[in-house]
Amino acid sequence: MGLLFSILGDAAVITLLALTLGLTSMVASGRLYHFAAVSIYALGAYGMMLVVDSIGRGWIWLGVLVGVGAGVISGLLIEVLVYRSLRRLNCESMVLLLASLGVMVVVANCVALVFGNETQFLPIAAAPAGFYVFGTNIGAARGLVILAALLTVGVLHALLRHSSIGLSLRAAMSDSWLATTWGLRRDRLAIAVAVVAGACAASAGMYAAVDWGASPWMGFRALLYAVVCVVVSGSHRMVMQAIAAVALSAVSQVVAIRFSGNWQDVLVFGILVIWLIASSSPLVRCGN
Amino acid sequence: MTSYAAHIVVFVGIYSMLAVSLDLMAGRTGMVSAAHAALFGIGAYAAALLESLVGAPFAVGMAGATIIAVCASIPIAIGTRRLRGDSFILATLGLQMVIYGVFQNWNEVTRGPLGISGISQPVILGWTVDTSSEFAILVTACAVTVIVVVWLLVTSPLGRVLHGIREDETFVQACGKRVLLHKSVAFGVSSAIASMSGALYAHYITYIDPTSFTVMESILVLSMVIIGGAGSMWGPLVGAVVLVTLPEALRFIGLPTAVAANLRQIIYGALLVIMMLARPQGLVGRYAFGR
Repeated sequence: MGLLFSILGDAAVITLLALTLGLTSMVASGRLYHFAAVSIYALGAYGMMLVVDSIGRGWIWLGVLVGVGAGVISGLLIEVLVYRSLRRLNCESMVLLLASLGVMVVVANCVALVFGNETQFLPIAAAPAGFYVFGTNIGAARGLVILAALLTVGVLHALLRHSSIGLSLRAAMSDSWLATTWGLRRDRLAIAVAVVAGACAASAGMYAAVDWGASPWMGFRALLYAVVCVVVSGSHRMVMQAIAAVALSAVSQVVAIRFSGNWQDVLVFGILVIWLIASSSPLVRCGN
Repeated sequence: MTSYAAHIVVFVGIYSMLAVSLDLMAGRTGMVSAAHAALFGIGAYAAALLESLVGAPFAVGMAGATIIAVCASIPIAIGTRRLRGDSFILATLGLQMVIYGVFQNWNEVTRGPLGISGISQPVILGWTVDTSSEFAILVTACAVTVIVVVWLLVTSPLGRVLHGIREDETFVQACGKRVLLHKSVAFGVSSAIASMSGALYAHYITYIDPTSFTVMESILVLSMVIIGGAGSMWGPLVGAVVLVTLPEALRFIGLPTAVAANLRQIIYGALLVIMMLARPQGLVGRYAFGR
């Protein structure tokens, strides 16, 4: 049971990052590019840790709010300062991806300059006490992140299917030029997406900080796992992304237990390469 | 030449070779690879292992490393032949992570995180290259040779086909050119050069471990190509000179090493974003990257 919750905890982080990637890619006609989500993930984590370290352990809930705020603001800034300008220049999605890598490098190193390169941990007492499920104690942070991921997937799935903003997003993904011609305001849509995506990435980062500690590059591996989920599932299939994240976490944990934890990444990125080569089609398929 | 200046020249030379080889793929053929550090690493490990396992001399080790990298690149080129743009970047990013994982975990061969130490200084026809100045001469000679070879390649009919593939792959195919063959040649030559620079790096530093061949290193080389100007002769060279020497200036303002390392990455990350926004053709290039 402990292993199951460990898998679900990892999967929740990957799912939240996959949602971040998936949503942002829908604004860019289904092309994956938002590697700067690593920065938002780290800023969320460090925002929360800063509050807990400076005000006190009892203020972790305020820390969570600050973390989400840091994620949303950084997501908005990246969208407005970088992505929007590049979209207006009609750049290829590859350019967005490269600029995003640049933002990731800049922010991660700025975080390292301010907080140091070493992994930092929350004081143990700062983490809220856990609760029991089927006789197994799961940490509160793990329980919350699983719940947050489930809720977010459910809400976003419903929004995408049944709301006008969801319809707009699907239209932007299907044919952004046509959607814009028919009056879709893509910049406004991108702002809304940046807010939601920033909150998702920051939430994942905060959980990771509680469970594994925070470091400037903490989100890179998780983001690459999320990339695998989005590539395999499609950017608009939130439920499939969550299922892929659970499957990937399970495979990864089984490999770690049966063989060696060191080969997890080789396996997961091997899956990414083989999938891309085998599909050899446009990266993320459009459709409803 | 002081030892420090020679050291800088060696690194400018090694990174120039890497940048020129990546430009052959990214700037000339439109295949933007994020796995160049892995190919660099294959060269370094192959040269180190050939020396330590079979006692191969420098020239044989370098030739062996080049052949191994070319052999590794051909299946990759064939496998990724239908991928373009960001799909190709993601696939090569995945390959980078896989190859890095192999460097890190195949302890019996690569010695994992401990790395391989005691790699000897090169001996070429009785000339032992054991000072930074001598190494600077060797690396400069190799870099000039590589630049001339790549220049001859890109100005040949083959180079024009590569340009055509970059602009419109389907059209080139419709003209009866064998796109897969040309892409494989570009990938192979690029891998060979990256592998040679890896072998030079291993023999210069005399110690290699996986941390020298991370995805960050791939992004650094890609930044050199884009900042200098992709698809031009001088662009990758200018990019390599700027990104190797600019951070060195940080040493002279008394910053601690750890801070300087972070600032170095901030500089190249910021330059990458600025170039994408304001000058996609890079500092000296003419081809507007991704527009």
